[in-house]
Amino acid sequence: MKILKFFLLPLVTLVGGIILGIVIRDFPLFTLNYNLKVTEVLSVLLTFGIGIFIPLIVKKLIDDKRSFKNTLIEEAGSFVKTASRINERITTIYESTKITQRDKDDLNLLFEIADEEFNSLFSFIETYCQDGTKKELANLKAKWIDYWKILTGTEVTKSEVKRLDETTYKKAVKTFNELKGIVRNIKTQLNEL
Amino acid sequence: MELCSIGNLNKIMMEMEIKDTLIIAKEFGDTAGARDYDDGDFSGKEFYDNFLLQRFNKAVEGNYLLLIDIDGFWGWPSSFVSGSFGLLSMELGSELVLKHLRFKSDKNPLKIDKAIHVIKNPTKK
Repeated sequence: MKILKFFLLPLVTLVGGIILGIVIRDFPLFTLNYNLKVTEVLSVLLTFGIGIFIPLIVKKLIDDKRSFKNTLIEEAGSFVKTASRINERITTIYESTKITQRDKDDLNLLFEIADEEFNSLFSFIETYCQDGTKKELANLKAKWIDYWKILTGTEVTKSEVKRLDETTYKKAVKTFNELKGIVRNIKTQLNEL
Repeated sequence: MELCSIGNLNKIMMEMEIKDTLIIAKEFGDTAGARDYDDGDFSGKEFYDNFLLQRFNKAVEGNYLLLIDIDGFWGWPSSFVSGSFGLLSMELGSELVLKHLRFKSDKNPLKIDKAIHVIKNPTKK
């Protein structure tokens, strides 16, 4: 134990000290050159900048495109919502087996509102969308005019019309369903943008 | 003959100018009625008899364009449009009507499309 205490321990401590001295002497293993070139600094900053900003810009572009698509889809949805109100109103009128002047005026009002929504949707798609969507838009316009002719024509607005006849109602519902189908196609095409 | 092609439209515009404007909301009334007199006030037929036909005939005689200003006119039921512009088209032919009529509707351009559709496809009802 005395050998361990008075010989081996100091020896180990000595060897450990020498090794530590060598390590510290060679540390750091690389050297720094404090004479930097301006171009190198700019190059480093530029690399960091590109690394940070390009993903941010790409993300913003993707978000903008998504937000634009969502706006268009909302416009289409808003138009269908008003058209649905017309369809619900006409169903109520048909089921009540009577139509009043107030009902006729309300239908006119609903068409005025829906027209404005159609115009807004139309101008958006005309400006920003491709030919396929524009073709569907032309179909939608033609179908919307058909719907307008059915529900604001003499079969409904004539003073002697006191109830909505079945043929007119069925024609209106059929046209409304076709309208919804066209809007669905437009929404699908907008999603593919 | 394709009346609405850009070439033809340009030709017409070059040949004729707008010399008369019929502002419906100011001269006739601010709200559209239905088709015939017995449907109530401001019917399409009333508009046709008292305003549209005579102004249109003058435009044809003077070889100019009549501008129909729809802005400010509330409602545009197909019965009204059919009782006025549709009737004009049935009486005088869609080609002549489209040659001498122009529409203005800044607030709701779809009303113009509806009127042109009715002029091109007039019905008795």
